[in-house]
Amino acid sequence: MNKNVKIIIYIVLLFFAIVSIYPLYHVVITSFKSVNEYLDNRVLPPIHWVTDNYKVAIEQGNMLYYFWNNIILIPAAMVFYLLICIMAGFAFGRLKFRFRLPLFLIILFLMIFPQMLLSLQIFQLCAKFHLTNSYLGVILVWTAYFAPFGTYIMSTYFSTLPYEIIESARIDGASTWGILTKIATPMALPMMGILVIIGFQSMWNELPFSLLLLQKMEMRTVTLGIAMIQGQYGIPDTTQSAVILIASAIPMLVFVFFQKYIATGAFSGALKG
Amino acid sequence: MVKTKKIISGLLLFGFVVAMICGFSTVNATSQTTLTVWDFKYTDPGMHPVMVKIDDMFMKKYPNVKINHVGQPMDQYYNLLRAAAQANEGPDVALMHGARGDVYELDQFEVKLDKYIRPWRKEIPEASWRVAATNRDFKKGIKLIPMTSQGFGFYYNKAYFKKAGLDPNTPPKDWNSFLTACEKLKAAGMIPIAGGVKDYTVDFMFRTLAANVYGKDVYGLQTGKQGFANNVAFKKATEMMVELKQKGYFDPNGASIPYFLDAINNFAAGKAAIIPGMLSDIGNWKQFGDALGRNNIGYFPTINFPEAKNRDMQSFQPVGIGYAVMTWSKKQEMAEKYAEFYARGEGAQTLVAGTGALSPNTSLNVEALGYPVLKDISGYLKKNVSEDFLTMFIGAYEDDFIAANQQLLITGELNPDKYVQQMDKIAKQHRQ
Amino acid sequence: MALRKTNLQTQEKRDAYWLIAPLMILTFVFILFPAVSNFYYSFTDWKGFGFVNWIGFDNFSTMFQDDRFWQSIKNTLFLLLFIPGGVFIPLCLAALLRGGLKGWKFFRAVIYLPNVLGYVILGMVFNLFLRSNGPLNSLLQMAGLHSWALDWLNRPFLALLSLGLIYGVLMRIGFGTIYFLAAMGGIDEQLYEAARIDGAGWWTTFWKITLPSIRFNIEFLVVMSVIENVARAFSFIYTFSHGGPGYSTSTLEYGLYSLGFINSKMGYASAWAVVLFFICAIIAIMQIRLMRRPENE
Repeated sequence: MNKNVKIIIYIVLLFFAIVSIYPLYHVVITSFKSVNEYLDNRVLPPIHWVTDNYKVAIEQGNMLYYFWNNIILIPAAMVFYLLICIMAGFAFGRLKFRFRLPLFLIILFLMIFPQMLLSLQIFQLCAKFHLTNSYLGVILVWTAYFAPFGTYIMSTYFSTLPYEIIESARIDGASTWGILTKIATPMALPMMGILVIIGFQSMWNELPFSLLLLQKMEMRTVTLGIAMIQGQYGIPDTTQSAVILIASAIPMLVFVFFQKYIATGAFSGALKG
Repeated sequence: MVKTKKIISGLLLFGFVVAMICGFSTVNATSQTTLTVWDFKYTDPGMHPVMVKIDDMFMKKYPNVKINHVGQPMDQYYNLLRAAAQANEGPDVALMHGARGDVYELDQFEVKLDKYIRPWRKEIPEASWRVAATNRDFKKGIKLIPMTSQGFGFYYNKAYFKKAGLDPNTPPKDWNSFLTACEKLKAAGMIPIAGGVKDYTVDFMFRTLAANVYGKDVYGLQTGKQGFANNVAFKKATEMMVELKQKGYFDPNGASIPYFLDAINNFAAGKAAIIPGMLSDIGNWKQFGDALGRNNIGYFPTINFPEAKNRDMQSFQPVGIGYAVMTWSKKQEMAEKYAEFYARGEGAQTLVAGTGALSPNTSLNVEALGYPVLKDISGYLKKNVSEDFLTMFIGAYEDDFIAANQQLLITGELNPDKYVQQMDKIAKQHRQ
Repeated sequence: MALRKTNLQTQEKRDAYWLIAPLMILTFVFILFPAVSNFYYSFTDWKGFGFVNWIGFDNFSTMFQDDRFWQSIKNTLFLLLFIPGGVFIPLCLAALLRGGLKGWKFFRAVIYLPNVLGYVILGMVFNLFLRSNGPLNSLLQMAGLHSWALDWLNRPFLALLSLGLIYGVLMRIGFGTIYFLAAMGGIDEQLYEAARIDGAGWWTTFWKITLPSIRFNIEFLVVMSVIENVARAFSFIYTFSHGGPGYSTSTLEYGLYSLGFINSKMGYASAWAVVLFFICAIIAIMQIRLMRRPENE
């Protein structure tokens, strides 16, 4: 390739990389400024680095509580989510049964509704079933809301698996369960990595449902916690920046560890249909 | 086959059990009485340590009670309370605003407190109790115990007035002298008015000006006797706001910073000469006095102008905030004691001394705190108060609508004529 | 054998229903039912709690006279204008990264990074970023572009434009890039080889080979972008601009939230929800047609 072209390409890439990372960088430097310094120096790195903002965020923001809740809530919800997506995805993608298409279309249809349109009615339902202020309520609602997309991904993936393998297993007398657990699921492992990432990101960042369902301070999730830290008059930008960074630490770690799944070609397989 | 089924049902069961255990373990932690309190103040940096202290005092007084104080964000607060009402379970005690539509709408879920407060009712003025009753109607019962009263006015930095060649001890007496003061301050290289045009700066200034516009007739806004578009003085007040913006007397960065807490911090850090502030909460005499020197803070309640027939009227809310006891609480007696604790005696005293909130409780001695500016403030409060015009029809919907229109007015999208019409429109809708 | 096959098929059917049962139950209870019950509440003056009064079509007639409603519709449509940008830029970036330049993995990771944070946080971050005394304007001023340092968040049109550029374009880049990159990985190398032999340049290859080969993926991303703009923007707007100044960045979805939850006019908000329901239904039909097209079977 021409050297000049290469330079231009790098400049373009660099531009977008900076656009992606600069806001985050700004948050990082803001989080280390004192309130007084921030009044005068909004843009440059702090002259005096302080860690008070983190102390306030962790202590007053009850961040540790919220992390603990996420540690319980998200893996538990993930178990439900994975099971449901794999089971339903396999049925839609691989099995023949009556109403398969209409039911699948309904699932696709349900993927679209915004949370705002549902959340109050969901709260009403949960109140009736005594599922408010309970992890189970949030788990069920999250699974219901996020599973259609996961099911869609899994079903398209399962439908691309080589037909012969499954057919021959069936001729050998394997049951549907056997095929699903012994053959299909192991083959779908890379896909499940993606499912975990998508599920994790959706659940970690979910706000409207947990806001209404988890009203006790000690049950809140991290995202809910940072939305709640505002109080009546808000908090200074410096503290808010520290809160943002604390809250995004884990998603970023997850991103680093699972990066290769995000990037695999399987992703295209998932969505190509 | 059987094995996998077992594994799957095992996993499902495990998930359920984890969820259940976690769900219930928080419920029955202790045999003590736990009082759950909801609060939109609890996470404010200035308020938090003081409230923790008062809670500790309360728990010391009633050792078998544990306070579970939950800070909620203001913009979700009444939404969460409505959800709690729908489920008929929630906090035992909840912080409420005085004279707010959301609070009055929750009437049926708030315990009547008339009987409970009877022994010490006279400590707090009847005007405050009236606002604490739903729709200011004593027949509907008193539903919250007033913790603070609130008002709006201008604080100024005396040293800066002096620097600009103004008399630090005489605040601007009318619109013309206010403009002159701003001009001189600006000429001397200072930002005349802190905060800015985006949110509460304008809102608070309107409230102070409206005190002069409507005075004691402010209740006419509820009945429709008073209006906006047909009121020359209100129209003039609107034009005054635009004029201040156009002459560049607001902080030039004001458009992009929120009043809370940036504008307040700016004024406290000496970056502006005047700020429309509050009497209670934060952004008040205490915060500014502590930051800039107790003797360095001056106060005036409003700007006098010829079209408005009242002078030096103090915009006032007889109840800023107060605790209400919810009907679904199973510990109503203790909840009432808790609500009282913040409004009377050592609890209230701690609150006032710690945050600079004004208590409506007349038995507290505020002036003993030693802030000279308090003398001026209580002078105005005793002389002439006009109930805050926005509380005449404030519900969240109206609140939203007015704030949106104020923004548009000040950014120049709406002219004053259209603005006053919009105000009439919302007032009319509210009366329906 | 034939008998065994029919047995197998009935068995398979029964298994299938068991497998989809949990999903069906959960989604019907927690999504379909709530979505449909909005229809009922749209004919009432419900406040979100307490009594429900039937008021017929009042909410709808109020809605059609409400400036705020029409503005929300306009804003929602305006956001859709940014979709081409939000699809084209990632397409180009993916095509550039595909070339396998040194360090392309690094760029891929960095460009995707903002997506990890979630809309609540991104909204907060960009709100700080665009304030008139914020970093963007400071950078512009340092670069000597004083007249470009505008008050992005406080002028109605600028605020909407900022929302469109950031939410509609910038926020789409991360996912779009890695998605297209993965899709391009599936293109047959021989096609490129043949083009090279024909002496086609980069641009020609891009138009003639890359784009047609991933047509489905492009369509898919367009539909996803429509969904993101119409039905997922709430959490971003909530922390980015709160729908302001005035109602200038309030979309249908945001207005629904602010009317129903903040202003406690649930009945009225339900009427908005009905409109949003139909819009979503139209998008869903578009999406379903795309996904169920014969060649994608």
